[in-house]
Amino acid sequence: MQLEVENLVCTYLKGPAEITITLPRLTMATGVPCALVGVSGSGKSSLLECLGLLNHSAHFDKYVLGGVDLCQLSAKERVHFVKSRIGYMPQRDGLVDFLTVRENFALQIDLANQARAQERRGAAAEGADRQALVNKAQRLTELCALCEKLGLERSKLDCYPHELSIGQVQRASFVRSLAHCPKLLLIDEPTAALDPENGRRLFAEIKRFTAELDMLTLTVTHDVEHLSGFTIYAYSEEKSSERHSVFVAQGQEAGAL
Amino acid sequence: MIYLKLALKMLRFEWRLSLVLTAALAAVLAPLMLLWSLRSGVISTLEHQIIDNPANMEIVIAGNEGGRELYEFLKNDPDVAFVAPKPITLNAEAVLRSLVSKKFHQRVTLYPTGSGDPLLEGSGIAAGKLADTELVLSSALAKTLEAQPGDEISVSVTRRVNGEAQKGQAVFTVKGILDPAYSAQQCAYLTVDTLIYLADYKSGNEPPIFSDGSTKLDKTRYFAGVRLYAKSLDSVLSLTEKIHALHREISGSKAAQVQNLKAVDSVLTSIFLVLAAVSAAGGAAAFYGLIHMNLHSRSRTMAMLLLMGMDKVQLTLFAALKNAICALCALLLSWALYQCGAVMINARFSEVLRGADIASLSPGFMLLLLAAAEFLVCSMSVVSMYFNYANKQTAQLLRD
Repeated sequence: MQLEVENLVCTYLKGPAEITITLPRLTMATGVPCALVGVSGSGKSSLLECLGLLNHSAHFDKYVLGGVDLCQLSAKERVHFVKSRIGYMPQRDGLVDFLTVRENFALQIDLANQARAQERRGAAAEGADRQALVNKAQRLTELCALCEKLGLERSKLDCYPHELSIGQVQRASFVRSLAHCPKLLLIDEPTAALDPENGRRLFAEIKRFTAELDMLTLTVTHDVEHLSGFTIYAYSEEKSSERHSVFVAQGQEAGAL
Repeated sequence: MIYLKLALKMLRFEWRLSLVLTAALAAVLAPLMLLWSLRSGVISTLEHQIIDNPANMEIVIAGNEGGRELYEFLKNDPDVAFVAPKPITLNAEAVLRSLVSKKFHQRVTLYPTGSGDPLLEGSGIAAGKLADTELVLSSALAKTLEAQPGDEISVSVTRRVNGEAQKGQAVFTVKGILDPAYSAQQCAYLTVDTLIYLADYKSGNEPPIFSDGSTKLDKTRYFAGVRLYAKSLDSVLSLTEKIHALHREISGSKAAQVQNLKAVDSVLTSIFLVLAAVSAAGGAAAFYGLIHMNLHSRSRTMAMLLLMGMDKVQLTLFAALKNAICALCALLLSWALYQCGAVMINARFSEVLRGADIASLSPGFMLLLLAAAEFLVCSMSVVSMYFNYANKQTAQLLRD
């Protein structure tokens, strides 16, 4: 499993305050987690949103995930592809508020399975690796175990998000984002609301998943102390200007951090 | 199915708001239901006051000519419930005497009857099976003669032949007695043939009843008019027009009352429509405001649902479904409120209306109201979703 992105350019804010973000090249491979770091306001989250195709202003020269070039897919095919293969954990409130944690997991699985079923029916992604449907009951059991590993007791799974602490919501949101077995997991500042110990545990799990599962992970974070073993893409002060942020792989430019 | 489950979960989660939405819609629907039920109840009560008595469907045509043509013209008309040829009125009178009580009455008016006669059918008497030697008495005449069904009654008619007074007489069996509500006259109902024999006898001939049957007769020469009943209120008006078109005068019918009823119906319907339009417009604006603000405040939820894999069409379907369930609950609540109101109103007017319900709704109206409410609510949801989310990307919603 591999992700290759070339020349990603996106803009946010309009008018004189418009900011352009560029990622000349991003390569991710199974087994090695990636991180996106940089100063606040540099556009890390925007970049992550573009990679999750949540922001349609993004332009790619190349976006190939698991051998499928998204630039070659029709809009409809791309939607199904993204729903079934990409998981996204936002900075905050990554759960649907009127569902319990368990129901959030179940909905994520249901919606991804729906997209996979549609993808199988259509001619979409012809020749690409079609995702198998996730066994919901079995997956929910696995996710419960993962929650326990992250310090989220079983009893919390039947709570609504507003009945949990911010840290518990953050962990549940992380589990929700990978509930449907995505190929690419995009995580936006997962430890922002966690104490150091839980932050460390979460990063350990991210590394474990990336190593054990056929899954790519890209994490936006300021917690650089947890990033040993990560491939880091960092904001380049040298290549960036006031209205233009550029991110490059660490090592390509000294002092990027 | 996913969307239905989600809609129910969201409604349960924000039950206070769901209750407000439901109550807001019910506040518009319940008065509309009550108002429409009053309109329907008033009209239906007035209608029933006319149609419950089949005698009110009678159209009496003036004049003693052209009975044959009139009968031919009307006998196959779809608006006609019953028509029978009527012999010359003056000839159709006789003296009736009960052979049981010995009571009698002079100048009893005799009417022709036959299969489908609404007065006889309404009194539970099979008019089609009436034999030429049987008759039906009006309630008033039965009282005068102290007669019961099964009694024998002698019917006598007189005539003058060559200056000599003659009397024809025949014995009839009482087949039944008419409902007292249908006629207050001293009258009796016999078959058309019997009345023709009577007219023939009075004309100096010898028919099989009232005489020995030694002369042949042309039945149709005695048709002076018709006894006519319309099928419905609308048929009364329709037949009135048709008869007027034949340049015949109508001496008695409920056409004026029917026209009054239609005028009342039209006025009440107009009042209802105006009130419904005003109240529905205000209610719809308020309800749209509630839906719009509710969906607007849910941008984070919508963002999460988009993030988890729904598209905007599915999101709109989900929002419309949620509000449609609210509308259904609102209709049920309105129905309960309407029932309370209807019970109070019906109790208040039960004495005046002799037990009839002044507030009543048909299932058809309820279905129409449900369809209208659901259509309105779903349309509002779609419009609100469009204005709230159509031009926003998931990333933007996540940051809002």
